[in-house]
Amino acid sequence: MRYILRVNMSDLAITKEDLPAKWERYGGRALTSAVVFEEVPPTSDPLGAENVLVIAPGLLSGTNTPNGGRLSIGAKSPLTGGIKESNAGGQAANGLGRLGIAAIIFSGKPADESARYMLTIEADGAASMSRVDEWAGEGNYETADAIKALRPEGDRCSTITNGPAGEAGFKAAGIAVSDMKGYPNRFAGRGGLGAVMGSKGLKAIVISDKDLSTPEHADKEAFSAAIKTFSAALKEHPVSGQGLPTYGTNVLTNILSEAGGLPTRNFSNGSFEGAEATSGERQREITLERGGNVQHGCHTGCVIQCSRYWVDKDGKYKTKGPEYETVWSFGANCGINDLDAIAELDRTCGDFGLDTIEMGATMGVYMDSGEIAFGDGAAALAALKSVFGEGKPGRVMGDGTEATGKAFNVEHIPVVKHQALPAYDPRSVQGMGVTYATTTMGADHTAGYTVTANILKVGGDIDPLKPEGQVELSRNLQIATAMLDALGLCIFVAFPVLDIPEAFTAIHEMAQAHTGDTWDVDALMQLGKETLVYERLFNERAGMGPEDDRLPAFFKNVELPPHNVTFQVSDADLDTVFDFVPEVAAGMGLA
Amino acid sequence: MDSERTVIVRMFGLLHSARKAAGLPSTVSVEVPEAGTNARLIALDLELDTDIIEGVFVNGIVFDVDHAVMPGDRIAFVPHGTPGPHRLYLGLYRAGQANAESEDSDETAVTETESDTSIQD
Ligand code: SF4
Repeated sequence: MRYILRVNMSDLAITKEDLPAKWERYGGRALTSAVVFEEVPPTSDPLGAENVLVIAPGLLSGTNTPNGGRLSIGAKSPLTGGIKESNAGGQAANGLGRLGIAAIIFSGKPADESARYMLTIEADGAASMSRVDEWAGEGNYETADAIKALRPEGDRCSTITNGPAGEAGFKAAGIAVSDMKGYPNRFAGRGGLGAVMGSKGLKAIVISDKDLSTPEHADKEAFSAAIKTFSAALKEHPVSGQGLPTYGTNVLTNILSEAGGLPTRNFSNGSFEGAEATSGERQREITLERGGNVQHGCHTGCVIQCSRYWVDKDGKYKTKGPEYETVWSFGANCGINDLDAIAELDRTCGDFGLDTIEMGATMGVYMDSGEIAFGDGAAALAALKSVFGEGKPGRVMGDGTEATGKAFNVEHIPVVKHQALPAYDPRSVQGMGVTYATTTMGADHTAGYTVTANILKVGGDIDPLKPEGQVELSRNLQIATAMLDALGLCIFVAFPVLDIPEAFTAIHEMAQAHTGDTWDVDALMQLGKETLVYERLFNERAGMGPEDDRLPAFFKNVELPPHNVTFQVSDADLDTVFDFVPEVAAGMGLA
Repeated sequence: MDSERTVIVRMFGLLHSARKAAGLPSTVSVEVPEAGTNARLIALDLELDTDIIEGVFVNGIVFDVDHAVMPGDRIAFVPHGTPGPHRLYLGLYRAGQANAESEDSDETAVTETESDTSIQD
């Protein structure tokens, strides 16, 4: 029986309670969104005592499910003002899964704002809080080292830590999760959840799973058979078996630049002349030349292994191999064509606890203001460090793209719901624009295999530069994504799942064999839909309306070279994305 | 080389690495007939493994590997293995499907066609 660990930061009370029956089929994002929906007043202050911070492993995390150890962190976001689920790799989800913890829910906040706390969960389930005031202001790497020094010899633990950006309440602050080697380099980066953690005085969480084995399965044999099928599909498919393990996510830089969809110099062009120099192909070459690691999983049980480390010219660890989104944000978007400069910015964000997507977009608008030049990596690093030091732009940068763009009178500020757009220009990749605009997506009434077939059918017909079919494709992909996030599966399993029918079947077989509940394809898709319903309803009650489901006007008015296109999906079409909500919500008793 | 008849060709992912491993550049200029050619012929002249190509960008738009290429075009070969929804959004999935269909219907037609593409690294 999974349980919820509740921590009240107002009085430091820690209690355990059984997972309510209504949430038994939920894990990961489904659970974080359900808890936030149920427990947080939608109009409350995100940094106040009424907000909660929910940390939930996926339904299958802790088991041997291939790529099943993803972690969801949820809260009301101080950046967007709406609900947020931020998803991270790293070891923590598997640790929590093995402990039988469905979620940790932090509520309240300490009266003493200078207090810093660490929650330690031992392998026997004992949970305790300790004061770590001396760690105030320390970077994530220093905190991770300090935790290691406290742990007994031979311990096996993972960490979730908050950097100084979260402690300062910056809206661009993320939360760091340790990887298999203990580096705090995996991030629940988006939405300012580090600031929520900081508002609760929480500096770190330590999860020991020493000597713990995987949780029991309802049907061990069936589970083993299903993971075998699933693993084989992941290894066989060219996306998960070749492209990602060889180059990581940065294989996309050359492709998006060639497509004219790589936002360059604050979204003023779709192609970057430095794409080749910052590409995944080049990243791999340099890393191999320096003796670095070019393939590992971010958690045990990942068979795709898209992670890598970036090492400096002396072969020393600098940061995780920058992901595509980071290479884009500090690379093309800032006109910087040097992977070492990008890695330095990535490391600094990682240590401060800042979201690299938000910060790269922030740097892009700052450069666009003319304060520093596009392409100047040294000036970018100095600007980033100014959030805690001297000079411009200073603290405003920590609150992200919109705050910085407004402070420096920048015309084109690429945000939706106050959060920066990531690495795909919606004018050249219109489907991404639909997703950006609407963020939490709904489903139509089709179910199960119809949805996957539909994704491939629509995906087989669409033109990236035209609006037709984009709403439908985006909607269905988001249902599938929400479902994967709820199970704790990495989203990179999506393509084997879409292309290889046995892989999709294996997912519900794993869920069924593990939990003993009845799962089928329709039930999986329902899980995705219910997750999205909670998110959409919370946002509506927080005051968001159709006007929030829009891209900034310049995407519709300013043509993007080289294709010279604008975003063409109509507002009316965007508004159809959520048509399904009332009916599904009624079915959930949430009308 | 007549510069008016050149095509810039880039190779990504595993094609990029294979070229580098062979000591060859991953971006080349090739000369094509005035009336044009198709991407598959260029790939074959470059001795690329066409089986691993999912799509080809021609002037920034993804097509299947049999798409026409004209003098002055810029193309890029993309192997299978593009992650994320972009494989759908950019049309790579569609291109891969078209490749599979054309291979099913006529496996040999292209390889029997004589090519007069010339290559300059
Ligand atoms: S594929 Fe990459 S992101 Fe996904 S679980 Fe493995 S290492 Fe982590």
